[in-house]
Amino acid sequence: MISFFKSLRWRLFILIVCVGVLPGVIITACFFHFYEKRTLNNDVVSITSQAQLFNNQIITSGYLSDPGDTSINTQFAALGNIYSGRIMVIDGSFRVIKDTYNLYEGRIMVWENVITTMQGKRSTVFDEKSRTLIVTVPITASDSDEVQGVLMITRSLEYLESNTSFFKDMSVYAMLVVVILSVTAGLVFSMRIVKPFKKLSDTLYMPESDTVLNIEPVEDYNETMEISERLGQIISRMNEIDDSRREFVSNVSHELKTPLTSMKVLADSINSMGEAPAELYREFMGDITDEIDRETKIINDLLSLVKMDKSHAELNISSINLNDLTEAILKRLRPIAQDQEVELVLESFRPVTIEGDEVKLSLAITNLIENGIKYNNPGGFVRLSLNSDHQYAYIRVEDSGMGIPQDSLARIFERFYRVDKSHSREIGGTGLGLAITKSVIDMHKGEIHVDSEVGEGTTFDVRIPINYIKESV
Amino acid sequence: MRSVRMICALALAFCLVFCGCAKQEVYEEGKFKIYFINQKQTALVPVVYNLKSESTEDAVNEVLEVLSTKVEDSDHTCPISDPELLQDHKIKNNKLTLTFSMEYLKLSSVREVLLRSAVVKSLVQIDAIDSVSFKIGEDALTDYAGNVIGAMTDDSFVYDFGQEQDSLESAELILYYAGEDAGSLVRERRKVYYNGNVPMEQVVLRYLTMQPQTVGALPVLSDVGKILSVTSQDGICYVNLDDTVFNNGGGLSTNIIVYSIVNSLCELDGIGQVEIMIGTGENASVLPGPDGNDLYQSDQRLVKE
Repeated sequence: MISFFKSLRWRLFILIVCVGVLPGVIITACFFHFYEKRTLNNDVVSITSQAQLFNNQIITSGYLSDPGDTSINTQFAALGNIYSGRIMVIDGSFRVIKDTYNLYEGRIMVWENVITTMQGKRSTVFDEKSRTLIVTVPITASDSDEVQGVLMITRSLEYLESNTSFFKDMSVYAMLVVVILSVTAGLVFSMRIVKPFKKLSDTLYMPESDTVLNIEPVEDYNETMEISERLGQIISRMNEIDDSRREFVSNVSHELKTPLTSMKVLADSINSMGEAPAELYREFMGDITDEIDRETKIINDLLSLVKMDKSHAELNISSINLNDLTEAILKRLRPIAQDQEVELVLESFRPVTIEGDEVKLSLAITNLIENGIKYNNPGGFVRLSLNSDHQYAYIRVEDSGMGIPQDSLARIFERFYRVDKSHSREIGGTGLGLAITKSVIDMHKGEIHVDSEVGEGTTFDVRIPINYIKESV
Repeated sequence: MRSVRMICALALAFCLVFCGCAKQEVYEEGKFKIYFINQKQTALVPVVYNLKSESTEDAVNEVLEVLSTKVEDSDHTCPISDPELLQDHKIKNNKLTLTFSMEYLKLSSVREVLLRSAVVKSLVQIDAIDSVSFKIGEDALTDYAGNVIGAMTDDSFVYDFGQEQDSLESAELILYYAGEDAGSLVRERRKVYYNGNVPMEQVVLRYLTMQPQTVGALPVLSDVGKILSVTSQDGICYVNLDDTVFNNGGGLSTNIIVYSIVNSLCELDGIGQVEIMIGTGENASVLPGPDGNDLYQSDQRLVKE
């Protein structure tokens, strides 16, 4: 389900836009806050120092008794203009003796700030509604603390407003630019960054037709390279499995065809013979029967192999006395061994009991011994040794047969593999025995190992855990 | 959808009504307030008060009583902290005179000014009281410079500077002052400041009492007190001046004074003619105009360029 919010591309886009826009917004907000504060502070400082200058003039000129001093009044008028504000001088009895707005002269000021300032404390107030800053300063002689009056200076802060609104307009334009840039950058970069992933998913597209999938590594990022490599491994594994499947099918067909071919040859011979002695017919029929038996064995072996592949969990676990089991197997195989003039020996160092599937294990061991007999020379032997420790049971099957060449050792457990294909008919068998044996041992979580010398003999070592280890699902 | 819209409209209407009502409650202008002093002794604290008395004498007594009574458990104190301070009061011609004992002189200047402003601002709200004067024993109250503090009204005090700032307005007026030679008028464009509640005609006349900005020019009226009243109707402005208005020491002729007033007033929108009455009561007389009627109009010939 393609969801917008799960898209890496859009997440990157949103991230880039936020990173571009958020700092701008935060910085602008901070700027405005601090600008106002600082400006107000500066204003208070400058007004206060201005007031201090006037303070001295007022005291020295006796302004409080006679506010007619033109020089001071001119300065007041000038300052009032500069500040777009108002200047008031209040004497010790709270009477307004000078007001640059000509409104309050003669009136008594009982405003709280004036009263507190008359008691010596300078005060600053910012009147929100009229946007003015009002500073009241006590008028004192330099050599005494006695407050003789109050000087009030107001300053209109409309200039601050017009400045702030100017900056705000500018910041809006700036933010607009930032937003446009961020969005553009976001679109471009999110697409670029996400592209290799798109490439990766494109290379993985498998069309319906059964073409061999070849993965090209996407080397843009370490991450994508790693993904491509792992996928490549999986795909070659898949290809391997596919190949081995093909090989298996062709092997099976070949193996199944061989007896049939022989049967056909024999049957054709009989048919083309015309009148033949009953002996010959019997001989040929006997051969055909042999071939049928062979075919049947191959098919049975195949079936059991396939069954084992499928039914990994269907082991019939019971307690098995290996000594008894191996004795029974040797007993069963003795006639065949005697036919081949091969001696069967059982060596047991102690009684060995394990948990396992009796039928399957019997099959596995039988195969090993049969091989020992088949690939042997007359007068040779097959020795089966049993041993165990507290963890494992050890079964060793040694023969004095023809041996297996070194380069074939790794492949003998493969299905249908024969070292010497030319003699397979004489030797008999299906080529599946060792595959079945290995499968059984794997199912019991055991191990099988083979050593061999051409001309000397072969030794198979099998190790099986005494207690069946259940596969953790 | 329609029902949602209707609900929204109703809600909005409801809110507006509510806000209006709420505003009414907060808006205390017009209600009788008695002024107390805050605990820190730095400001006045107005408290809405329900005046019960009907007659002037009773009302004054009632207010003085409240002003002298200690207040329990509050953030303000009564202005007349010591009942011994106030000795007597007298009402004559709508002017109230309060007599205080000598103890009054011992009050600190801050305490004294707070007491005075609280008492005057409270009493002056009574309909029949126009002004309040203070006496210490037999003598009128004086300030630290020795000047007599005469009759005081609400206007004598500035209490809420912030609020007054809000109603402060400014405008540019054209005013006509007396020229240097006292025989002509000088035209001056001037920036004026005034309380928004005051009518422009008063502002004009008030500014005619002030020193003009033009060098050498002279103010025409010596004192705001000479302006008894000024009103306008139907384009005619009716000015009532005190009968001493023409007795100035500056040697300005009556003509100059009259046309300074007339020309300045006619600069205002909506005023085309001016009628001037001198004096009050039985002695009041209307100045006869140049055209035989009582109305004056702007005359630019007197203006020196």
